[in-house]
Order: sequence, then structure tokens, then C-alpha cells
Amino acid sequence: MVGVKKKMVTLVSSDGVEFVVEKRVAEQSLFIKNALNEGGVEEKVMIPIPKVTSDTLSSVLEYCEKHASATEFQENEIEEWDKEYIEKADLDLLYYLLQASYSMSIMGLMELGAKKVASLIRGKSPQEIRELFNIKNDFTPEQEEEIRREMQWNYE
Amino acid sequence: MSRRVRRRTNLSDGDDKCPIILPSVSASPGDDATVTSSSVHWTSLPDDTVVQLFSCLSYRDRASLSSTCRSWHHLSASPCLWTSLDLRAHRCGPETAVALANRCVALRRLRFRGADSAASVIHLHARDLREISGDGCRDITDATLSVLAARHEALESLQIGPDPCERITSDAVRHVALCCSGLRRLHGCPASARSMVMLSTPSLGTALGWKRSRLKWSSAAVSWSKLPNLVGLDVSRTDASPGAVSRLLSSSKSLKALCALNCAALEEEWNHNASAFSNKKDKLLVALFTDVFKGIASIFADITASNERAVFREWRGWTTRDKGLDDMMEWFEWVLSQCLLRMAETNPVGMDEFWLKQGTALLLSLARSAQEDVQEKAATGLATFVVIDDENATVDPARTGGSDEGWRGYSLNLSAAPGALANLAAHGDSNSNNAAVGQGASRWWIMANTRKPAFDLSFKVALASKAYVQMLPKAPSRRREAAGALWGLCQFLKLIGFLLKASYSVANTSSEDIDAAVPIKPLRSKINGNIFAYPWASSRKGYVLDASEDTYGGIVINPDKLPRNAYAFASVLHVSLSQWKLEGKKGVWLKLPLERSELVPVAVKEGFKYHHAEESYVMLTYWIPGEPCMLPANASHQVGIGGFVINEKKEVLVVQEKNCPSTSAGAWKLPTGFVLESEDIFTGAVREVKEETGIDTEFVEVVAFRQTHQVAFEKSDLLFICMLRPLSSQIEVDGLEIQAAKWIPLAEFIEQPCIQDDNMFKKIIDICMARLGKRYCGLSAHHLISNFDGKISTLYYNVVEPQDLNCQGV
Repeated sequence: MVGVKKKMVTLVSSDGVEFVVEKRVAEQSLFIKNALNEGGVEEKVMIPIPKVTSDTLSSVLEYCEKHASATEFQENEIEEWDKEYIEKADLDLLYYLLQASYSMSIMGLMELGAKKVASLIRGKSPQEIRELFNIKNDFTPEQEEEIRREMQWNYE
Repeated sequence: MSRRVRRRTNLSDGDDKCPIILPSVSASPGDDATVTSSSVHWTSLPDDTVVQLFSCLSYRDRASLSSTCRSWHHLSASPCLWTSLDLRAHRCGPETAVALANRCVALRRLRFRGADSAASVIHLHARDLREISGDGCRDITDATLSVLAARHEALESLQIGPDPCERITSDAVRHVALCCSGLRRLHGCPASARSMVMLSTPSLGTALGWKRSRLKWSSAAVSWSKLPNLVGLDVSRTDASPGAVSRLLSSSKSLKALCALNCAALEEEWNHNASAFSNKKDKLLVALFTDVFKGIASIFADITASNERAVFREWRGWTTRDKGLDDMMEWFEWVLSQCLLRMAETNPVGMDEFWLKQGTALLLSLARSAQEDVQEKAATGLATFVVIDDENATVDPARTGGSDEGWRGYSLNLSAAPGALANLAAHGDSNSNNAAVGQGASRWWIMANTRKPAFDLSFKVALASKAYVQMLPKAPSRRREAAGALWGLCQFLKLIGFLLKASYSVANTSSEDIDAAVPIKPLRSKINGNIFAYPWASSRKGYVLDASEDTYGGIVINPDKLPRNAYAFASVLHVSLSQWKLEGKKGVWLKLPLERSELVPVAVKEGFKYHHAEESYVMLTYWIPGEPCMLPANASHQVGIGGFVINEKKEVLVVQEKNCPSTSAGAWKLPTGFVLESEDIFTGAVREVKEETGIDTEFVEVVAFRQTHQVAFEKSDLLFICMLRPLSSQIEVDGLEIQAAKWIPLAEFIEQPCIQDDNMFKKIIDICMARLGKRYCGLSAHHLISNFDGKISTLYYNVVEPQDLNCQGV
């Protein structure tokens, strides 16, 4: 690798923090990959990532970095790494990761995050889920009754 | 691997380097959804993400999630979430079907149970259904089947079974063939000879449950052998006549495989005349008296006799796919698993030899199929076959013992690819409320508990976790027991990666039960050296703190990778310490940055002690063994200088300090100060003098030093008296520390009472006087690099060469 200069790009989070990463790492995000391709020139090094804060972005890049070099690892190694990675995220970070993986188009991360959130939901009642995610119940009583009927088959 | 992410802030970098970011931030300050924690609105997640989330959930959880709020309720009906529906666990009446209808527009696969449900399926209005699989439909009628076919013309696969459907006549099957021109696979419908002709496309048909039917085998064989597209036919467990079978084999042009397991008449014929079915013209006959593996392997040109038994695995591993071949193999998997399961359940006599020779091996092989229902049937078949007495939890010794080799071989395979059974165990999760497989749970459980050395432990874990998962809704009282046994097995098991996989679904299902049974004890994977503190990662933060080792074998925790909150930190720290203890580590360094000060009490509670603190951090230490702590203590000394500056007029540079004890108020003293971090004594002396008096000086020598104890912060103190040569004379007083500064004649300086009355000051001045009179020689500074540590350092020493004995005076 001596003498081969790695292509670097700079990502700028919404709060203005710059992250200098290898191009191949950044390209785990389709959003960035497209942005780089559209630009046509490789020299377009500064890419703003709106709506993603530095905290989230650093976590996202941790994922990208691992997956950019996925070929170096065995499949189950990556799987285990993923598991550990997502396990570390608390609920708020999960939310930000989901938002970021959507806006940056990182499918793998979105799936991973969704799976983790699903594991939190599993077995909980609607009310418990509302409390978990701080969701406001915006159904009218009539609607609620209708939904209860509709879902009846599931609870028999 | 080095971390390639570098962080820089705008502050240090300047905004000019980052021209693009500014507009994009200021343009959307309002919808910057990720700035503060209060902006976490889960309902504001993008629709696609929510749909993704729904797709990870079972129907029941989907229902719960969609009942939380309007927007998610709306999204839960997205057609892409409803391509496959498994209603086997539910009673599917017309009302249920109607309630589901608005979601089933794009439904492709449907599984249900019972003839009643079959009648309701049409109310789903799922016109695009491709696959229908109905269990327990013994009573399904011609009318129902006809309507099913008429409403779902795109059907490609129709499986009704496994029981014989005796009320179905050839008319209904003919109707199915007419309506569903794309049908490729038809399972379990008793079809009369003629109706099969109507299936125009290549079909893999099965004919199950013929025993008491009105079928005339001889005429059926004649008609079937004329079918242009019939490729595979299954007549297992029927009273198929030898004549019909040999006719089919000899005269059908399209038929490639005939499966006839457990057909008494055929077996009898075979016993009399082993060449009865020899005229089969390259067709494959699968029966109890044939070698099934060898037969299936014969389809493939490149599978040798030595790996015949791995034929299914070989085929699954192929990268290039052949549609026709895949159809055929999937059909084999399905037919064999179905038939073997039935045989295991009914346990017909005289089958021991078959089980020992190939039945078990077949089931073990099928348990790794890619088809879910094949996996399920094969695994249940295995359990059924081995466990002969549910109530007393007895395992047939002959069956497990006799096939030791097979089990062991299978276990070895498992060790190599443990994912297969783990997936099976995890698969139990999705079926956990499935009544059809529920009965297998207790059998799984019994097998998992069997003290049978031939069972690989990983296999046992898979069994136990499957049992556990299946038991969840049924026997809450045994959940703990199951979790405990599972844990016990896990402890023997070195394949932690596998364990994680196997237990993941279990842990997710009910972590509190597992927690109750699991002792707080970390595990370590031997495979890759990674540390998994807890296999039940979902309930506890199962990882060890990021840390490196210092040169003395101490652990240095990486302060940049601490968990985000104190709660997580507490549990990880606890786990990490036990882990490091196990590894024989002794000292742990924990540097908590100022902004993570909330973690200090957590660390202290865990046994950490303060080591030292700086402006930006506090350093804590932990000494693991009970022995006396061998960690180096914090710095014990402070270093100061006193500057003795004397000019050509024999005037000494002196200062009056602002904040000094009243006893020495008004006294004129030498300028003094502390040496800074990474500062040499000689530069510190020059700096202090310059700061306090504005006089530029040049270092000459250290003339003396003084050590005292319990000075500032109870540290010891080293004060170096330095002789300095002035380079300027204009005094500028620093107003902060110093009241006044001046040049004072030496004699006047010495006469001050504070000097005269003090042994130390007096002695210092005496030495300086001696130095001035060249009767004394101080220590001058010499720079050198030592090989010891490779560092540039300064050695203060007195020159010993004779020619230099006379010190250079000022």
C-alpha cells in the first residue's frame, strides 16, 4: 500500500463537524455515492450531510467503516460485529441511526436498526409501545374500538 | 486497524474551509430533527423505515404496533408487508378474512389450517395468490376447492394436506386444472386419473392418502403415463400396486421420479422378486428398499459415490441454479420430509433397518433445507422418531444408539456450520404460537435433556432453545427451568457465536426469564478472541469497555468510547472488571473527561479510587487483586525556582509579593515561581523573572536546591536557586502577583531582617556570595540524549575538568 494515496472525502455533519474518511467508507451510503458520481470530479471533497449530527454521524461512519472492509472478515464476524454495534445504541441513538440511514441511504444499517427496534417491540402491548416511544394516542374512541375489532383475529 | 475518522470542529478550522455547509444548516434550522433529545419523535420516522420495522415483526406485534397511533396504523396496511400470511395459528372465519381483506391486495403466499379456514380464504380477496398451503383439511369439499381455484387463477402451487382429502373428487381437480393454468405443483389432492391430464404445464404432482379411496391403480397408471408434463409423482404410504408402479416406470415419457416410500404392496413384491422394478428407463424410483441418497445423487452427473450422502448440501451450495432441477429437488425435500414425518408418527413395524440405514440421515439432511416447512417437518420428525415416550421422557436407546455414527457425523457438520440448526431454533420463534408444531415442544425438550454423548452440545442447545421458544405460550411454569437448562448447556459450549445466534430469538422473546436463570458471569469466545460478556445481549449491554494495555500490563480504558449513559456504563464496567480479572490483569486506569463527570460516582462505587486530576479530566484507578496496589502514585513533588539576578553594579533584582503572609510583608525577596509542565528548570527561571520583573536574563547555574515537605496540596517541594545574568535593566512590574520590584544594592539586601534572621535565606545568600567570589561552583545545564529512553534531557552538573575548575564569574 506504500505510495498509494487513499482517496479521502470530508463529510460535514449538520452541526458543522468535519469527518475525513476514505471514499470507499463514505460510499457505503448510496446518497454519498451518488453525490460523488454526480459531481463527476473526485476532488469534490466536502459533502454536507444535513439533518445528521456529529454524534450520529460518527456512529454511522463506524458502521460504514466496518462494512467497507467487509470482505476482509468472515460473514459471521460481520454479523457479530453488527450485533454488538447495534446493542450499544440506546433508544435515542437508534432513532437517529434510522433517520440517518434513511437520509443517507444505507440499507444495511436501516435493516439492522429496524431489527433492533423490532426486538424492543416484541411482545409489548400497544400501550407499552406508546410509553416506550413516547407516542401520543391520537385515535378517537370509535376508531380504537374499530381497530380492536379489526385486530381481534390476532389475539384469539 | 487504525481509525480513519478524524474529527475537527469549525472553531479550530475556520469557516472558510467549509463553504457548503453553512447555507444548508441555516436553510433548515427548523427541521433539523436531530439536534436535541427532545426532537426524538418516533412517529416522524420516514414511511419506508417504519415499513421496514413492521416487516421485522410477527402479526401479533404488528397489530400492537399499528394500534398505537394513526400514522402507523395507516402504514401497517402497506401491501408490501402483506405478501405472505400464515394463519395456521388462528381460526380464520369469514369475519377475520373480511377484516384482513384490505391488506391482502398483494398477498402471494398463504398458509392456513382447517377446512373452515379454506372456505373463508376467498373473503381475503387476494386475487394474486401464488401459493396456497392448507393443513388439516381432511374435510375440504369439492365446492370449496373449486371456488379456491376459481378466485385465484394465478396459483402456482396448491398444497392441501397432509391428511387424505376423501371428499375431493376428480371433478374438483379438473376444475383446478382448468382455472389455474400456471399451476406447477399440486400436493395432496386425490386426483383421478383423468383430471391429471388437464394439468397442462410441467407438474410435480403428488397423490397422498389413497388407502381407502376408490382409485383403480391399474387404470390410473395407464392415464398417468400418458400425461405429457408429469415429472414427479409421489404415491408414498398408499396401497399402490406393483403392476401400476412398474407400468408407470416403463411407459411414461415425461416422468422422471416416482416416490413410493412405505407402500406395503411394493415392498412385498420386492422381497419376492428384487428385479420387479428394474425396467424403469432412467427413471428414479425412491422406495424403502432403494438407496434414497444414491438415487437422488444419480440425478447429478458430478456427485460421486463418496459424497452421495451430502447430495442435498451439495445442491444447496451451488451458485448456478437450474430452475427445473431446483423444482425437482425442492419437491423431493418436501415429499420426503412429509412422508418421513408421517412414518415417524405412525411408527410402522419392521422399519428399524430403514431408519438406521438412511431414514435418520435423510431427516438430518432435510432439517437443513432452505424451505421452512421442510425444516420444520424434518426436525419434528427427528424428535418424534427418537423420543418414544413423551410422559416418561424416554429416548429410544436403539434408535439413538444405533445411529450413533449418523448423529455424530451430523453433529460434526453442525460444528462446522452451526448456523443451520441455530436458524432452525430461531425459526421456532416465528412459529411459537403455531398450534401445529406446538406438540413437538415437549419432545424437543426431552431430547435436549438426554444425556447422550453422541449429541453434540450445540445440537442440544438448538433443541433446548427450540423447546423453550415453543413452550413460551404453553407452559409458563417450565420457562425458567428451560432457561436454566439452556444456560447450563451453554456453559459447556465453546461456540459462543453459535450460542448467540441460537439464543438471540429466545432472549428477545423473554429476557427477564433468562436473566433470572443466568448467573452474572461473562463468557469468552474461543473462536476469535472477541469477548461476549452476555449471550443475552438484548437485556444487558453485553460488551467490554474499549481499552488498551500499557507497557506494564495495566488496562487503560479508552475515554473516547465510554457508553453514552451512566446506567450502561455501570453494567459494562462491572462486566469488564470481571473479564479483566479473569484474564489476570491487575491495574486499570480510567480517565474521565470533564464532560463525563457523571460517571465518577459509578466508577467509585465499583471500587475505583482517584489518582489525580487535571483541568480537563480526573484519573481514577482500580487495582484488581487483593494485594497492595502496585500502580505508580501520583506525582509527589512540585518544582519551583528562585532567581538570583545580580548586575554589574552589584545590585540584586528583588520583588515584593502582593499576597504574602503578614510576617514577611514589605520584605524584598528573590523572584520565585513554579516550573510548568514540560518546562526546563533553566527556562522556567528565565520566564519567571521576566514575568515578574520584565527583566531579560540568561541562565548561569543552579547554585543550590532545597527540598521541603507538605507544602502546597501536601506535596513535597523542590526549589532550585538559579543564578541568572541580566540582559536588560528596565523593570516592568507584573501587577498581578507582584507589588513592586527593584534593583537593590547587595549589602542592603542582605541587611534585611528577614534574611539576617533566617538560616536558610542567609545560607543561600552566602552561597551566592561565594559563587560571585568564585569560591564555589554551581551546576550548569548540559543537554544530552540518553539511550535509556531516547529522550532529550538536561543534566545539571559541576564541571570536573581541571582547566574549568575556576568557575566563570558573572
